[in-house]
Amino acid sequence: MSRLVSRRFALKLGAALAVTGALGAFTHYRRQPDYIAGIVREGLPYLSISDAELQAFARNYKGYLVAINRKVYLWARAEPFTSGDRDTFETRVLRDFLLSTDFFRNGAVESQPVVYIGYIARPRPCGNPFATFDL
Amino acid sequence: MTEPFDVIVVGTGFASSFFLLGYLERAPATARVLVLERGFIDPPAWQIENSEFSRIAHETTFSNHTAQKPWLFTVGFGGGSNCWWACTPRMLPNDFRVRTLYGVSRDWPLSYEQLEPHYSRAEETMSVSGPSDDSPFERSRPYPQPPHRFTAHDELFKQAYPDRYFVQPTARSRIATTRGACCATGTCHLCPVYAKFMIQHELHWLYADPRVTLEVGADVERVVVAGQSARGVSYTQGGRAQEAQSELVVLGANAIFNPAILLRSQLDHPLLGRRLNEQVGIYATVNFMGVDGYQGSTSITGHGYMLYDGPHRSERAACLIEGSNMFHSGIRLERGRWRQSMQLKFIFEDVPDERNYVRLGAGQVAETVYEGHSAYMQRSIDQLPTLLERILAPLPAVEGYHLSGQDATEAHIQGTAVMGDDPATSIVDRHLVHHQVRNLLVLGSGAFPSCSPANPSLTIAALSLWAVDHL
Repeated sequence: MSRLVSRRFALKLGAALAVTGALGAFTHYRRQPDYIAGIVREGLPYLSISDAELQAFARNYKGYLVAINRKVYLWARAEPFTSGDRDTFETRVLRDFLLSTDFFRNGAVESQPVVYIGYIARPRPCGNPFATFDL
Repeated sequence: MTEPFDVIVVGTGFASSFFLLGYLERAPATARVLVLERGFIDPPAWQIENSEFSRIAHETTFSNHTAQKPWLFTVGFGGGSNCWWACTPRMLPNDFRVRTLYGVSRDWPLSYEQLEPHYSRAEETMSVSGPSDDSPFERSRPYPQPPHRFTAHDELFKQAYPDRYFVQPTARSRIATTRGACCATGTCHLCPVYAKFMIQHELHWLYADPRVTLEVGADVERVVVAGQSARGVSYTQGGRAQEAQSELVVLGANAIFNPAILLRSQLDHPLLGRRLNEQVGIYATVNFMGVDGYQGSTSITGHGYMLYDGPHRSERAACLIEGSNMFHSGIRLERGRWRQSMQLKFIFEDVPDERNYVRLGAGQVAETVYEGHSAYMQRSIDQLPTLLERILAPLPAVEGYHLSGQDATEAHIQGTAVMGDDPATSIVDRHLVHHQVRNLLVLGSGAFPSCSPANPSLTIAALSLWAVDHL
């Protein structure tokens, strides 16, 4: 292998490692509970959410993000983690937070404190509070 | 060597199971059927617990030469019925005549009218819910289950397009039967309430029939052919090479593995493995002023045919529209307007292209090569913004819309062992019998001569019933 090729290879390898490292750090950062809680505070500033409720969601959600199984989620429609441009990460966090609380079940009343019920990664049974089933 | 079987069936998905359903009805009590399944029995509860469909990762079972184009399927007992979303539209009558009517792709060697009784039988078996009196296709029998409920946004489409917007036919239960009723959670790939048709739930009894021997973990290598007759198959199980003999061989693996088995069997044909294709699905979100949605009773509630059939198919692809009721992905993140949006999915047909194919790679493993979808499909995709504006124009209360991404795959692998009347241009005949080896059937969506926008599973099932009717 020539010296020139070796140098080029080393540069490419270095660049690849730098990009991988940066992406890894970014992914790690986005999984942190404080970051997740910040998205909710910023996106839903008008809702009454206690710190304890929010932190409980963020901790559970972090676990979900770490455990997410890409193979299965490729099959799930409207799942942003594989389709990339369909949804932003922030949008997904906000939607998942709202569906993990009693907000919609209480009629989406903003003045009422929001209680975190629990985050259940898919499959979440009966997750549409507005569905109607009468024949 | 054991005594020959009457039939060897490869696979346990839609194609194989519906063949077996029809076959066992006609077979004598002395019949001997061997079923070889590459995967294992991983029950739905195990799937939910592990967020997997099978203990075998599908991507380890084939080689993908074009890594940016994924192909999804389940290797396991019940095949695609484990992971499907249970959408069960029929193909339209004109889908069978696209060459004659529009000069594109290929006609099917059978008509909608010929397949219709088998569609009805498959729907009965799957206990499909749908609108019997208000349907885009002629039906001889009502749907077994009542239709699901629309959302308020579906109702707006129905008012604007009374003869082109319908409740989606689906094997997600409207009412509880031997399976649960759908609860509209929108995670149908791993249904948490067992509301969708699955072979593991509703056709498992076929494999307990005393005439049937089911072997799992059995990877079929090739059909053993002597002269122009199939004598059986060779397979490996537990690392051990095995061979079984039979009077009839039925391949019901998917459209990647069926052609690979035929290629390894040296049943060469210029079109074998060629014309690999599937649809493309693109999402859009529509916002409505003051109209709350998400009242539907299942995950996907509406089917729009506004962009499906018509003279445009001479120039560009047909498109089937799905109306979604999935609140978890559709919540509108605007204060007080949470339910004032609707997700639509636009599913485009393709014209199969011989540059996309399945071949044998290193170690004779099935390998996919994909150059891309057709210009015919792309023309419709390019026009989607204009088409969407046009179909939204008659609807009241529309505030705006945005296109919101595309799936990498529809998980609808088709077209690698196509059917036709001419042995020079097709692998199997109209009854799915191999043109050269007349005691060999090749079932499934690989036989589809064209790629309609309709989900293929119901048609796969109906074709298997049609094939067994003509044995």
